[in-house]
Amino acid sequence: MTFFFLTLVLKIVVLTIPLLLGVAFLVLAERKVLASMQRRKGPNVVGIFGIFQPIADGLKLVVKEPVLPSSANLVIFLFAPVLTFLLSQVAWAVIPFGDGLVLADLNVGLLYLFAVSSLGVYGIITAGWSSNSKYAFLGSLRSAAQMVSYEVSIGLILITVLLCTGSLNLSEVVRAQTHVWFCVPLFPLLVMFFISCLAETNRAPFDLPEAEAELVAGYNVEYSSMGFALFFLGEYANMIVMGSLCTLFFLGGWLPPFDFVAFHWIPGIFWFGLKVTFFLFCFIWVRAAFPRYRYDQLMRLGWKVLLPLSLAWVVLVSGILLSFDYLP
Amino acid sequence: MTEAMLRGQKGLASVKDLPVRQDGPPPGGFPPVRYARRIANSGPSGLAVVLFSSVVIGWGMYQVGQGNLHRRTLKAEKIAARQAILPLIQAEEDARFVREKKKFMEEEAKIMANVPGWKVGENVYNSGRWMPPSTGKIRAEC
Amino acid sequence: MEFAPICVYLVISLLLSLILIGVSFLFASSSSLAYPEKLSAYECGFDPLDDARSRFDIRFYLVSILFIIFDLEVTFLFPWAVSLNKIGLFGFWSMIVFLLILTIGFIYEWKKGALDWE
Repeated sequence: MTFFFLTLVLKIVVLTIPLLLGVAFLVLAERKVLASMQRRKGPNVVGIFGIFQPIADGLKLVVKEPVLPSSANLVIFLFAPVLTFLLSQVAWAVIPFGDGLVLADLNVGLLYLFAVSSLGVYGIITAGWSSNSKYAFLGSLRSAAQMVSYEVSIGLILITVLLCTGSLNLSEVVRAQTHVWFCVPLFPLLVMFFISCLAETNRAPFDLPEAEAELVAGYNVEYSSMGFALFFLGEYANMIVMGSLCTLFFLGGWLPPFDFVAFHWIPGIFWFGLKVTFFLFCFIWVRAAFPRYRYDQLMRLGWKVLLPLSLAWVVLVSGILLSFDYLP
Repeated sequence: MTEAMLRGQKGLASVKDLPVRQDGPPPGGFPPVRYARRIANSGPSGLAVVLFSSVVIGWGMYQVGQGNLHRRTLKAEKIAARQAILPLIQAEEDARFVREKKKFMEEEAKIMANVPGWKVGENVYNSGRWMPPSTGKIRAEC
Repeated sequence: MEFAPICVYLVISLLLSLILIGVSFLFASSSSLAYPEKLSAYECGFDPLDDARSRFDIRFYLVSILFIIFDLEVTFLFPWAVSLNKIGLFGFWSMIVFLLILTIGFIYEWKKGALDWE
């Protein structure tokens, strides 16, 4: 029994530490890639090519003074970033990195991920509410309404992928793509899912609620030091989760692109990492390339465009699969 | 004086004689900036895009269907294999159960030897049928 | 039994986050005692004009209610999608009837303008 828990804790540590390192270096990668797209260099002072920049940033945030506003509800105020960070970590429990390389091989993995992303809204609302500041409250309401609107289209796209798979198990979703990746028949859905993921994680061009120039960083305006750092880390970890979801559902997870023998010598984790990196690059690319959506344009996109489209795709795909007896 | 030293020019009376170092345009001016709109109007028409994507999506769904049919056969094979060895596994478990139950009843007889009116073993329900132990185990303390 | 890793992971992540927040309090200086303005809510330099917990737009409430409706629709679609091969054509058309009812509701609220301005 103790051996079981010991191996479990070891697995969790092996999962968490590279994840935190990945998040830290994603922050650096974003700054460097954004800089390259804007024809300048990003941070390159701290280490060679700025490698130690995230460590310097983390150290700076740790030694800052944690300001607890006098009119804030302290318990909820401190709990909100903890909740956000916790949810972004816990979502990693069901993501398979390779064949059998998953912390908890849940048979309802998809439903679990959907539930975790729906709970993420709580962190934002409690942050804005407990700050007891009008700007924070307004920013958190807008951010929460945006996240919630794009949850629906994410759910419907998940249903379409589920139809082609026949099981909620995420490893099964990847194994169902051994014949053909789902991005080939469902590439409009890949585009829609990518857009919904951008909006879900409050990333540009949908980052009006937290844009630097707009609502003064929205719901985390009253947070300093580690509270802010936890929100930040949670947002980037969420970004990596969404990137992994895109690869798991559409790009074939750990499977190599073509069924050559040589490709199978390369371990599946490498393919998974490559695809997630591609999606993270696309996240950063979209941030550099597109102007921000206004809030009503954003909500119009979520409700009037993506929801009917994804619903139509559910009906279309289920019809095709059922009529040709292609169901799993 | 230090500025003149730094710029390395000799024979100057004062700093005011140094050439001015400014950030200016390159010699000959900048190249002309394009400010007119150039929105491309070439590329495939809408109908062509729709047809091409329908073909790709149709082919993709066909491949998904083939993959799903293959997965159905794999699942059927897995269930058939488990069904084939099920009697053997069940027989092993039954034999183990009987062994454990015999040991348990012997121990019960040893413990309850001097209790009057205690029928060893089989202290189950009042219908005449066989009921498996409700906890799934024979002994409570396992 | 498959959920045990998730429970342990939850506990470990919670501990990690609490440690991370606690670490910053180790370095807390007492300058907030010297400058109580630091602790007041942010309002571009002014004192907060009125209570922050005033009324908010009803459109946010409407968006949340709409989300509940469509999220429940997605929740009903989950078991249907998994079991579609067993419930066949009859199951498919039953779900289409359900989706049709919800779509009629969606069209109604679109026409009424509940999805506008926000």
